[in-house]
This record gives sequence, C-alpha cells and structure tokens, in this order.
Amino acid sequence: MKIIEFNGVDHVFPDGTTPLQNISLSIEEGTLHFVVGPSGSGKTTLLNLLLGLYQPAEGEIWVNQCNICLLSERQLTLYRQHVGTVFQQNNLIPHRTVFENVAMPLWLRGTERSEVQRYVVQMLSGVGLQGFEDVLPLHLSSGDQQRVAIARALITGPRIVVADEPTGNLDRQLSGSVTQLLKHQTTLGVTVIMVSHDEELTRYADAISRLEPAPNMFGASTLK
Amino acid sequence: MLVHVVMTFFVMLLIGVSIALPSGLWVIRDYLSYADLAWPTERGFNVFFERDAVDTQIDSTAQTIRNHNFVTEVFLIPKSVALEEFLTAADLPHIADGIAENPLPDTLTVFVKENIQIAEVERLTEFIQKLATVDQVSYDPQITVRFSAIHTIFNRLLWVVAGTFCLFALFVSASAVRIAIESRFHEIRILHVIGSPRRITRGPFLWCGFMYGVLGGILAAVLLTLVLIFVEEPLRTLTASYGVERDLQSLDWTFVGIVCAIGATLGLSSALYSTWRHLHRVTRNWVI
Repeated sequence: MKIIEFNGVDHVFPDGTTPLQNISLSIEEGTLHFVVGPSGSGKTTLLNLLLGLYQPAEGEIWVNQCNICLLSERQLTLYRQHVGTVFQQNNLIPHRTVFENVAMPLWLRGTERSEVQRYVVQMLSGVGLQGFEDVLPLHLSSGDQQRVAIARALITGPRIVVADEPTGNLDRQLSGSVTQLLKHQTTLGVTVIMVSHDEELTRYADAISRLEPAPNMFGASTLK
Repeated sequence: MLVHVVMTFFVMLLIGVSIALPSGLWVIRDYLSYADLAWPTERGFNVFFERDAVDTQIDSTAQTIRNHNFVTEVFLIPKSVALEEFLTAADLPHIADGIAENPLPDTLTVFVKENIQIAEVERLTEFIQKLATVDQVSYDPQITVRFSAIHTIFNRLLWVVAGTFCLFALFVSASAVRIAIESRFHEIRILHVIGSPRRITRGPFLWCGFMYGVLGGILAAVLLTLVLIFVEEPLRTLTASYGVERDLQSLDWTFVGIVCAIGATLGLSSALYSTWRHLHRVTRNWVI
C-alpha cells in the first residue's frame, strides 16, 4: 500500500531558484526508502516538503491519503507530531538530558507522566542506551546522539520516519549500525524515508529514488 | 551563567528605571497637589477684617460666606494665632512681649469648588468686600491662571514622559526577548519539526517578558521608595508651609501593585510582539 505520494511537485525558493521540478514519487508502507543524490540535488528540500515545512509551488503531496498541501498551520503541527524526524546533526537540545530529549514529543502530546517514564526507558533500552537517561547529549558520542534522536523519532510510534542524512557524521561501522536500527523499524510497519549521499548504505534499502541535478547547475533536480 | 544573570538584572533595571521615572513624577505631582489645595489663592481667597471687628460680627460674616453655593470651606485665623505664626516664621518670637497691640487683623481663608470661573469668584469677593467689618479681600486671579497653566503643562509633560519611557521599556524588553529567542534558535527549530504547537514554543518567551516586566515593576517601586525617602525632608518642609501634613514614605500596596501591573503589561506586550515577529521568521524561513 502506498503511504506517501508526490505528484508532479515543483518547489521554488523565494529568490526564484527551483531545486525540484516535476517530482513524482510513491513510497510503500513499511519499507526503508532511500533518496540519494549529490549535494545540492534537493534531497533535504524533498524531506522539508514532506514535513510540511515548505509548500510546493506546483503539485500535491499525499500522506496516508491526505493531501498535506491543503493543511492549515495548526493541522500541519498535529501532522508533524505523527512523523518521526532525524537530522544529520544538531538533533538534540543540548541543555536537556537524554530522557528529556526523548520524552519531548510525548510531553507535546500531553501524555501522562508515569507513561512517559515507562515509554522513554523502554525506548532507550530498545536503542541500546539504557542507563543514559540523565546524561546530557554533549557527553555522548556522535553515534549515541543519533540513537537518542532515533529514539525521540520513534517514541510516539509514528507510521513514518523521515531521516535526513542521519549517518552523515558517523564512521562506516556506526553508519551501518544506525541504518540497521532504522531498517529494523520497517519490520514493525514503520515507513522510513532516508536521505543519504552514501551509496554503500543503499544495500539496506527496499527502494531507492535518485535525484539528479540538471546539467545547468542552477537548474532543478529531477527524479530518476 | 553569571553574564546571563547580570544581563537579566540590567534589563530589569532599565525597565524599572523607565517605569520609576514617570511614576515618581506622578507621586510628586500627587503629593504637591495636596499643598496646592491648601493654597488659598489657587482655589480661594483671604478675607481680612477691620481690626476693631468683634467675634460675633466675624462669625456672622463667616456664616454668610459659608452659605454661598460654591464655597466649600471657611477657616478663621484669629489675629493672635496669625501674629504667633508670623513671629515664629520670621524667627522673632522674643519680640512678642514688646508689641503693645497686635497689628494683624482676624482673617478668614475661603475655599471654593474646583472649576469655578474666575468671574464668579470675583463677583463673590466684591460682595464680601461690601460687608460691614470687612477691610480687604485678597484675591489674585492672575496667580490662579498661572498656577492652572503650570498644572496643565506639568500634567501634559508627565504623560509625554510616561509615554516615552513606556516605549523605551517596551523596546528594552522586546530586545531582550529577541535575544532570548535567537539564543534558543536551535531548540525552537527542533520543537517546530517535532510538532510543537505555537503556544508551547512561545510560552517560555512570554513568561520571560512577563517576569522582566513584573520584576522591573518591583525594582521601580524600590527605586521610587528610595528616591522619595531622599526627597522627603525638603518636600515635607515645602508642604508643611502650606499647612499640609502627609506621610510621603508610605507608598501603599495598591500603588506598588499598579506599578507591577504596568510592568507586567509592558513586558508581556513586548514579548507578544517579539515572539510574533521572530518566531514567525524562524518558522517561515526554514532551513534544516
């Protein structure tokens, strides 16, 4: 079943540049879908469109049979609460502990305190970080910080996880480990859309979309 | 941490000073207005009797004046009291025994209602002047006009100063909140992506502005109390010379509450503006 669909999507920045043009893409539920391409090809823009952070100039984006381009700002906020997100870096709030960072999406949803405690401990255990609840993110390695970010992305049990180069700052071994962690989520029915420029990691992918910039460097990327 | 605390204190101090200055002027204006009330030429006049007037005649004249519809109060200053006050004020109490006959007359101090036209007061003084035993009525409408004009100028300047300093407080508080927003840009960005509603994202900044305002208001009340303690003595001397006794130091809780409420309103307004202006910018110009 298709859970995400991009239909003829164009995006234009306020300065007039067009990073994406006529993008059509379907993503099946419960798969690890890679979006690859060189720097500047519009991979992050694609994810920002999927998160509703940008509005497309043309086309539609359907998520779980809902056109998110028609959602109000308030509805988009609710929508984002149901999508897990992981970035390349600066994922975590530095002055909050690991527990607080992971618990934040639950607090935003108004989950009861006792349940928050239970879910967070369980989730940290699931990503191999049990006992790190009271540690500040700065005291963790890059790989462990990404695990905390993945725990935060998964804590609300989202059906979709968006990961923007989550392995960009990690060595090969840690990259493999983080990607495996995300891959594992697909067995639980979670759809993971992962942007990467590391072709090596595509061996974990169920599907791959490749963004190719136009020959003219200011031109828009198209999907292969 | 220390830098943060010092900066917060300075922001509150600036807000406090901005509120304290117009508030202080308002308190002094309020205080002086009591002295102003006691000045007979401002809203009243003096009636001097002939030196041979007897008590029954004076009482009768006072009653006649008291019955007039825009006269509010009539006080008698007996000539003996007037002499005693004069000698005390002139620092010449020792010559009292040497004065064979009191040269001062009995005097009535007459107060009239506010907003009475000068012409009406003049008609009343002309009427009193014609009464038997009245030697002279002292009424200077020019002083009334001058005082009224000075009063109006002072009031208007007070509003201008209050407006200017409130704008200054708004600017300081809004800038402080903007700096707070910029220093937490990263956190705001994360909160936005994970679906934080706007009210939750801006909540801490509104609270921050509110607290700047309230603490600035408390600081303003403290500053004001210190300043009033400092100027109390000359002010007391000044107002006592008009026969007014009032405790200047006791800024009541209502006044402190009003100052804090003004501070809180300014702080909250500036935070509302700043969050609207800058959080809007964060969420519109999005770059991961």
